[in-house]
Amino acid sequence: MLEIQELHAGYGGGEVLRGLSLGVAHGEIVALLGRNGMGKTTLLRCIMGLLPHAAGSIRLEGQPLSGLDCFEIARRGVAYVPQGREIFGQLTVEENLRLAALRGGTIETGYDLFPGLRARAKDPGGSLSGGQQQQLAIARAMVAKPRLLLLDEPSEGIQPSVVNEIADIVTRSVRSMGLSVLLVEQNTDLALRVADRAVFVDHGVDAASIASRAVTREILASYMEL
Amino acid sequence: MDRILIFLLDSSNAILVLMLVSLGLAVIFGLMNVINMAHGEFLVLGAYGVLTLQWAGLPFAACLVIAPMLVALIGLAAEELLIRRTYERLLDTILATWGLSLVLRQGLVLIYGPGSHAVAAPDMGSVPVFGEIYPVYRLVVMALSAAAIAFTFWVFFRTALGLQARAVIANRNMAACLGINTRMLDRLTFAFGAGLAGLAGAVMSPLISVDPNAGLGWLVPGFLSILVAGLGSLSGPIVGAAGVGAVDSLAAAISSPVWAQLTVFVAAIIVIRFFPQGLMALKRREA
Ligand SMILES: Nc1ncnc2c1ncn2[C@@H]1O[C@H](COP(=O)(O)OP(=O)(O)OP(=O)(O)O)[C@@H](O)[C@H]1O
Ligand SMILES: [Mg+2]
Repeated sequence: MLEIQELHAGYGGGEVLRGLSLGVAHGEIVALLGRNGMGKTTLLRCIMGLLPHAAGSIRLEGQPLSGLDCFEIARRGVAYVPQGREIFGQLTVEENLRLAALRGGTIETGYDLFPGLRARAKDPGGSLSGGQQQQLAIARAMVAKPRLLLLDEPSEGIQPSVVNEIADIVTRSVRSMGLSVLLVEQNTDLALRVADRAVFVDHGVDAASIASRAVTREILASYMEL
Repeated sequence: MDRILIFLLDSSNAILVLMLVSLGLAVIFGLMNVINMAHGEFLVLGAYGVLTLQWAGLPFAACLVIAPMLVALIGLAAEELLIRRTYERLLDTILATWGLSLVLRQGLVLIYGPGSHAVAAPDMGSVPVFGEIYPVYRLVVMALSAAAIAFTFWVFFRTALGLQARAVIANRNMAACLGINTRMLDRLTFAFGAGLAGLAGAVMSPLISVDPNAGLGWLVPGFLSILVAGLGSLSGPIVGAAGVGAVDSLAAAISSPVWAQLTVFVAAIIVIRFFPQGLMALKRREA
């Protein structure tokens, strides 16, 4: 459902993605793994239309996304949970969810996913704990009824016990809805547990694509260790 | 005693209109980071709009409704043709809107001549207020200004459109990631801010001398209002305008309008010197 071919992109200074190719099938969860600074966030920003790409193509269900504005890509069913969550700290929890529900979703989807958010509905998003903010960011993405979910380091800065609980809830929900997911995650154990397949990124290219079950310690070491 | 009450009424009048002006400035700055130097001219355009529509034979009430809408349309065109090309470059927005203000001013001179015009005041008579006779129209100006301010707050805090605008103010990229058309909101907000200035000019038109250079006298106190209270919230300009307007009215009553302006300037400089974030010291917008 998502096909990326030979993508080149970067920031003023230099190229970060150097011909990266990647696909995500319907209902598939793909983990995008790689060392810090290899261009994982950059790739998600390209898919979302937040960063233009210099060459290559991004297609969603066969339709090219190149040249579309970020809001148009969102309306085609791509939802983004960015690194650092980026919830609206001054808006209430409910307002955060309502923003995502403006185009045909319902905020109840979010509360059903994480019932704990309901009690904080009238509180500013910024007053939530780190784990709850991540729940809110994920709930906000799910409220928009996406076809493709982009998750950037959802476990970052959250207690391990909470991480596993959130991961289980999200995985169950994603599987039952048949969503496609592209997951960037430093916690490789977690990533390989929930994902069908892992794509390793090295210096801006896709270095390997391996079924999660087949990923060995040696493979991990060769792509993840410095 | 009665003199004091009348003075208070007159001051409230000036303060409410100043609130409209600074609210328009703040809305545009908040969403787009554009410092709109042409805001005073938008106000003047509102007054000229009433003048022209009155010449065309429309009743005053209709002029009051249509003139601000025309100014909003002019704002929309200015945003599309000029302002949007300068986003994210604060200095360029100042230069571009300053250039726009010059063009608008000269345009008015070309069409209406450099002299001043008077808008025929609607004949509403006077009513006794606290034992003094007070013109009804001035009460209408207050009511309309207060209603427009309330409407602005309602739009921003009670409607889906306002929610989206607040999201864009807080984090433009993330708002876009939720499917919000930020360009559309820019257009609407700029037109809305211009319309508020146009409304201020339209309601004030019978009370001021309508000339091409009348804008500056509003732009400066409008800016001082938002600087004094601090940027980044809608209540800032309201509080700031109350302070600036009050100091101005008080000083004008004691001495002369010229001294009043000087007093406002000095007071504002002192406030900004000691509270660079503004009196409300509100947190600046994220990212
Ligand atoms: N806004 C930016 N401007 C310039 N360079 C940037 C910008 N953002 C990222 N980079 C650079 O691009 C490269 C890739 O960054 P990116 O954030 O995509 O990496 P990442 O794989 O997500 O890393 P991490 O695991 O640390 O999140 C890095 O070298 C980074 O310094
Ligand atoms: Mg990253």
